[in-house]
Amino acid sequence: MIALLLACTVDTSEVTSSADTALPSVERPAAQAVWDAATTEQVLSETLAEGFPSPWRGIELYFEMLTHGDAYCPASTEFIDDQFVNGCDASTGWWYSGVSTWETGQEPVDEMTVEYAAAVGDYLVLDPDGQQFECGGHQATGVVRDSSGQAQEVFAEHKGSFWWEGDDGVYRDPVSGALNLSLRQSPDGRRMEMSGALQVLGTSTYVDGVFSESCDWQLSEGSMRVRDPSGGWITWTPESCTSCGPIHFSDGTALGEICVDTTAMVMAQSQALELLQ
Amino acid sequence: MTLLLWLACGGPTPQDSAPVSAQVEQLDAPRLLRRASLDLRGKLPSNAELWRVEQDPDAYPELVAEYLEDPAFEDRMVELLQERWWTKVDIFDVPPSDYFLPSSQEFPYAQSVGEEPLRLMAHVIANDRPYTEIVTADYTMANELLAEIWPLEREAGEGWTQATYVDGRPGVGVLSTNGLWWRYTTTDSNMNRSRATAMARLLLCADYLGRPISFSEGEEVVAVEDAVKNDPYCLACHATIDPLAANLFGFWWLSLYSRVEEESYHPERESLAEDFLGVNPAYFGTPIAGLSELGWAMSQDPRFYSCAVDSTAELLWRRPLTAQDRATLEPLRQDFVDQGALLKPLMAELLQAEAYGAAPDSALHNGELRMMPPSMLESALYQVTGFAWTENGYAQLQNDVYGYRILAGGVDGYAVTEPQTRPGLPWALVTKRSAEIAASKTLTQAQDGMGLLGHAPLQEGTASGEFEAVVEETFFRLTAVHLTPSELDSYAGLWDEVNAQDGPEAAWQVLFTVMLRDPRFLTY
Repeated sequence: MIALLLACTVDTSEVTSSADTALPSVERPAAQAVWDAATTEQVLSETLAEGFPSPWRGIELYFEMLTHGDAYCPASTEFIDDQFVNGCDASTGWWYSGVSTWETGQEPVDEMTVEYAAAVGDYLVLDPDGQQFECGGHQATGVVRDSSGQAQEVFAEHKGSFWWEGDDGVYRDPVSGALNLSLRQSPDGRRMEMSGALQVLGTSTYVDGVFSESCDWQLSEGSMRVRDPSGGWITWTPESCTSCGPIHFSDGTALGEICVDTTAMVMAQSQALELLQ
Repeated sequence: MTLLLWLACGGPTPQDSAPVSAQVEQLDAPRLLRRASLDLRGKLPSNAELWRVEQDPDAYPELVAEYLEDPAFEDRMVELLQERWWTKVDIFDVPPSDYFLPSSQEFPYAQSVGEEPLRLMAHVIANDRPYTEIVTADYTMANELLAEIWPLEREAGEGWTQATYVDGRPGVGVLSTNGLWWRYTTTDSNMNRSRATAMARLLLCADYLGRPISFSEGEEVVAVEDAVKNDPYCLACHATIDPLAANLFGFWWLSLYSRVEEESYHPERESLAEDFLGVNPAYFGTPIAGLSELGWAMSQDPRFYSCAVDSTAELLWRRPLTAQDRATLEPLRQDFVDQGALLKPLMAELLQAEAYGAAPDSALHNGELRMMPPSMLESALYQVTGFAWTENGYAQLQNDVYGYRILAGGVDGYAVTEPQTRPGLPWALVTKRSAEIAASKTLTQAQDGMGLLGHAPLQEGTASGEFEAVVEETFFRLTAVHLTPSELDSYAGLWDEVNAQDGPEAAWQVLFTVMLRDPRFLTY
């Protein structure tokens, strides 16, 4: 059998193998943190001061936007029909283009009932002043209720890109990412789990942690990351419930310690908090 | 035993049986020069150049060196690379209307988007930059249109100039271009895996999709997701595909067809790879920081250089490589690596190889022809007749929305990914019509001392002593072949016949139409 295999081998006796040749020298991109601890603390604090974007607020903006249409364009206060994929002019001076849907429903799951609602779309809307309302993705919210109708969990998902130039909140700049949050009751009070990535007010962040009411909504578990201008990531791992902790750059370099108040970040999800009172 | 060995090796295939030695019939010098000129410039050589190599075949390398510095070389590289990269497609997920572009901009929009990565590579090659720059450049190329619609800062100047994305994406050459990832898109569940395989195919000549795989159809998605992490058969590919795909999460769009999702890089999503794919960015087993290091990682991979040599050889030789080609290509690969990975010297070598000069009917071509791709036909026709075939702002040989790119034997990047190598009826119809219109155009130009004839049509026709010289020179210019006396007689007879019926202008038009439909013009 070996003879057969050898017989099929192309004769490369006069051919130098690739491994014999040194490859051209190309410098490895070495990302070094641009931000120090003070700058990181400042950037993260400013980014979180207005709170993370709330899917509940996003959905409110969606419906507000649709109230400016008329009977012809986009002809609904719940969605933009695909006949207007290339745009239509409402008599109000608003312009709608793209497609969107508003989906709601409820499903039984393990003796619980899951109620959900989602605004899904790929649309661009202009107000009479030319301000853009643009979306590609969805914002979904939901409640899990027990048999007595009591809310046991509130959840939300923010997926895609959203931007309303006329907003006075965080949606005034493009918000992009994929973030899930879940709020539950625990013996120590309410706990909000957040996981995913968001670009908000021009800062790219990633969070995977639990914010606890018993800790004044500071991180009790997990960490947050913020993207340094170099393209590397700075990870902040606060001591449980202290809002302070060390930060490290992608390459493992310790950059010091920062303190960031995350209360406002969680409070922005006020509607979720109310649902789980 | 001999029979057993022969069977074990699968017997000779047409490709494997191709001769590689001096037995390969070679083109004569003028036709070889014509081939090189068309490949490197998309233009026919001048008669002076043809005569020069006819007298002195050793002038060929010198003329090739000149062609490599020709201003048309960079444009031609765009078209040559398109045959392999397939980014110049007619339709992208984001239509031009999303940018409020008028219908007159539809074709320039599609062309601009598709050309972006090709322009970057062509720029690197034409400017003698190391080939590694195609995956390490901290810039891209953009024209006025792209600069208007995408987050780019572009250097001043007309047409394509260097530009930089300002949305936080790492600069890694073609790997950071919208044009590449708009063509090679992904979905929510695919999570950049198809892009990883495209990257491996294009830059490493590693074809994951060509590997045999075995799995049960109709598996639930959950089961599939589990299988790609645990099933040994799946892992054979996914163990390297998934970490490669993890580098691209800044381009992971969460809503397809959305302008706001697709035009910008999403730096925040870089961290999502581990959440969704379950792996961190890596390059064939070596952990890397992500997209910012992907180009560098490729530049450390010997396959990157082998692939550059092999794919350039295939594009210029216009045929798949065989095992026998290794003996020719390996020294070229070594020179390529040793001399700083410059593509022009490699191309010069490839154009002097026996494989490049193989005559159309040599066994190396296996009965297939080097037919002019539509873009080459377009530029050659424009060069000699001034004819540019457009409709509604679309170049008719460069699109399939209103045009005839596929019918003319071209590559659209989706339905057709390899150039046509044998004539067919649609091809004959397109080339017939283009020859007719081009011939008509050259007659109009003749009035102004331009076009194929270069002067007003000869009224005296075949009776003129000039007739034969004009026909012979024109045919030589178009085909690099001298007409035989009997062919010349046939042309004269045709001219007389049409002249008797419709006059000299019509006679010349018919003559030029016939020349432009001659297989020796349409192939090279």
